[in-house]
Amino acid sequence: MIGDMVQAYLALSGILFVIGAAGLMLRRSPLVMLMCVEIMLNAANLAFVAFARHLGNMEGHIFTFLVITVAAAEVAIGLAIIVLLFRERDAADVDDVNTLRG
Amino acid sequence: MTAVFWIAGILAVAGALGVIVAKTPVHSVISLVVNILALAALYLALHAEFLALIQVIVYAGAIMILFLFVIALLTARKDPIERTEGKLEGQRELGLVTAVGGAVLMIAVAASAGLGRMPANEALPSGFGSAAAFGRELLTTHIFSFELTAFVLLAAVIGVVVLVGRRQL
Amino acid sequence: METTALVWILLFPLTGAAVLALGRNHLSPRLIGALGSLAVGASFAVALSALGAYRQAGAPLVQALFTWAKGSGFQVDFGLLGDPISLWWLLVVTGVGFLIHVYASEYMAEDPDVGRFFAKLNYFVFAMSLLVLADNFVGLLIGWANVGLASYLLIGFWNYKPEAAAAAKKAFLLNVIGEVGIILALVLMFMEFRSLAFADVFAGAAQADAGIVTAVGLLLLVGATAKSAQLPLFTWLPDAMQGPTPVSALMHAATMVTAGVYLMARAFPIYQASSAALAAVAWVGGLTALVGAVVATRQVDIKRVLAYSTMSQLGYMMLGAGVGAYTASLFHFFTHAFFKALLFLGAGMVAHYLHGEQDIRRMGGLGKRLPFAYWTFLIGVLAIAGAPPFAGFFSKDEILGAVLAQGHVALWLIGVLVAGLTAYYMVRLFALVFAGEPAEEHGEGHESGLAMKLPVAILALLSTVSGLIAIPGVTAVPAQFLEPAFLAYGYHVPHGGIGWPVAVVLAAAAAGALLAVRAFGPRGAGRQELLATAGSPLRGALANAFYIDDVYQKGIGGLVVGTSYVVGNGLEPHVIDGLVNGVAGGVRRIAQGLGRLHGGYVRRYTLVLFAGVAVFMIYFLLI
Repeated sequence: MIGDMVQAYLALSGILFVIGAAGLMLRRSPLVMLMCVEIMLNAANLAFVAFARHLGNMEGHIFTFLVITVAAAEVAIGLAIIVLLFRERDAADVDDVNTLRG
Repeated sequence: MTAVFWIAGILAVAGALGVIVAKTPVHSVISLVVNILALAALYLALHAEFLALIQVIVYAGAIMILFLFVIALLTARKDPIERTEGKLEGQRELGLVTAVGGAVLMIAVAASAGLGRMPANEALPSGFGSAAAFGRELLTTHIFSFELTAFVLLAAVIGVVVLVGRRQL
Repeated sequence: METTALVWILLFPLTGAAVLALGRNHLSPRLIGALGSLAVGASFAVALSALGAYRQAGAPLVQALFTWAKGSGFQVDFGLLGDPISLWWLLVVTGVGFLIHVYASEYMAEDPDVGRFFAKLNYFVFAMSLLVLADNFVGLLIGWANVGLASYLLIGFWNYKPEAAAAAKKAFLLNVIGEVGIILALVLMFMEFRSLAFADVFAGAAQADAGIVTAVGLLLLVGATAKSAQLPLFTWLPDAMQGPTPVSALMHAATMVTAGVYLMARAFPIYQASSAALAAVAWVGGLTALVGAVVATRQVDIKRVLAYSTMSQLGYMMLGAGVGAYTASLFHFFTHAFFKALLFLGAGMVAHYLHGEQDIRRMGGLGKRLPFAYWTFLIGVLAIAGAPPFAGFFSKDEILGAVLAQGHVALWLIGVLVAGLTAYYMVRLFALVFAGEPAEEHGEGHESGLAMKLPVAILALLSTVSGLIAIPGVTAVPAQFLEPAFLAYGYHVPHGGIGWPVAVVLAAAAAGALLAVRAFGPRGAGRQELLATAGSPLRGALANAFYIDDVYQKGIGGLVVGTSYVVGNGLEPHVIDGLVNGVAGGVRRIAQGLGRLHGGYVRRYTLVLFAGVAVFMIYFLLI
């Protein structure tokens, strides 16, 4: 059955990842973009857990745990930056933040 | 298993899509929480009980609440940004194309992998996915990474304080 | 036989040049003139002693100096050769050179750059001596190039005059053309004979490949044409009169311009091995003699008349060499050096007296005021016109006699015509300058001193008596002296004799002289006409040397300038710069285009990122 196929979980992980990426490309609000990053991280986590189940190895779980930790830290910092951004201007459009360029 | 997979899977996708298409940030947060909970269900289906727990408590319980606080603080009674014209030309079209293409590719990649079935639950090591096994794994084999995450969190705290903390501190 | 004396002929003027160059600001003009003359005088003394040594030894003097170059399988040794031909030239160069140095020590005494002048003049004597003393073609070429440089330096001596600078440049450029010819000849020579020493090349000339020998002969002729102002590379000689008169006398009359004749005589085995090249020499000489004489009849600058006259007489010498009558040709060189230098120095006295005037339409009647110049110039005119018993009569008739005896009737007729024209234009010159009434008033003149008069007197004497050493049937000093050099490679020099041809030549000369007296004498019609045009530029093809110089200037000069223009304004900015700038611009445009990927927009970054990921996924899917 599908539920027994690790490839199904991988496909699902891929689709979630792409949705997160699309949101990152298409939305202009920094808050929503940060949430899309979270979606992508979660998709990766799903892949790890699926492989851990497939291989019978707990290391996948460990890695997922670490990813969650790092995601938490990153959200904290990201939100701090967004707060700063909102302090400067009322409507935060991420396209206005474009002075760091090559 | 299959039923769980399909239901949770569709919910997860719906939640993710909801984040993108929501009109206000708060709606996006709610969608994301749906996504997270669906994933937790999938973790349970994959015999990762401890992790499902962590997912719900940390992700849905802490991170998303943090999001809600900040949204409430910043965007109360403001119009969402996407009402106005965007600055980048062609971004929307290219983005959609890339996204759809990417999705197709992902499915193709997953389908073409010759990985076979997952082993049956009985074939898994005893205590697979349990807190005890998790703790043992984390604090013996991966103790170094565990310590490093402490640093990561420290960096986050300091960063937040430096960025938005009060001047007098 | 071995000797160590020859190199001193070179060292004296070289040292003189160095000392004078370094001390030109510290020595008095008299000392400078004395030192310069002394250096050349010392060379002359050594040359005389070398002559004596040669007569005693009965064989050419050789002095090996050093090895010029050594490679695998070949070696070029540098040495000096004192054989009849080189001694002949050496005596004239150092002897006449000495006289002219003495003359110049007074003539140039008031010039602020007199030290520079004598340094360069000494340098010239050194270079010319090297040219004739070398025993190999490399040495000859070095001497050749250095006399070209000396010519450039001395023509342009008054370097603040733009005409002088232009004339110097023209002389040098045309000389370079000749040098290219010589170098190509040397290349062929080396390919054929594996050596550049005279001994090796001449010994093998008879057996060498006919085509190569002819090519060598023609290429050497190119060099001689440029140096000796033959057709068509003569246009530099009239302009070379921009230099001081002593320079014109020494270099562009007596010595430097004869280097071409020297080359034709020295390389005679090559020309004897190739009748085509030899014929070319003869015809170049004959036609040059004609053109030079014709153009001289219409000149109004005293030095330009003499310049074209030199060109014409050099044509005679080349003609003589071109029919194999080497001794006649070299004898004419000998006498010509005397009377042409005499004429130039005399012209210098006239110009000195008139404070620099050189237009003969403004002269006249100077016979009364400058009796010395009058008589000495007259001797020169008689000598060049070929009046017996002056030197030119004997030397000219020997050449023409040999030309006819070899069967070249057309060339002989040209030679006779030239003799008539020579007499005509020289008498015309004399009449306009010295005879009749002055055309303009000049005020008090600047008389010449002893230092100028003495060399002129000596040259006048030589012009009178030097012919006597070659009276046909009585004395044959040049022939006897020079023949061993030619016999060394198995060549018997033909002789002319006294006969009816001589009378024909005399008649032609007399006719020319009489015509000139009629037209330009004190009451001549031609004189009035000419004086009426005083002050205006010359018109007519003859006077402007058939516009050949203009053709060169506008044609070749225009070609060069035009090409430079095209390259400089078209090729350089558009193509070359365009290429370089285009590359730079292209890089910049690419960079700017790539830079646009970098807008600073996070969303754009993510798009590019995921597009890349998609590409990778496609790659991994398909491969």
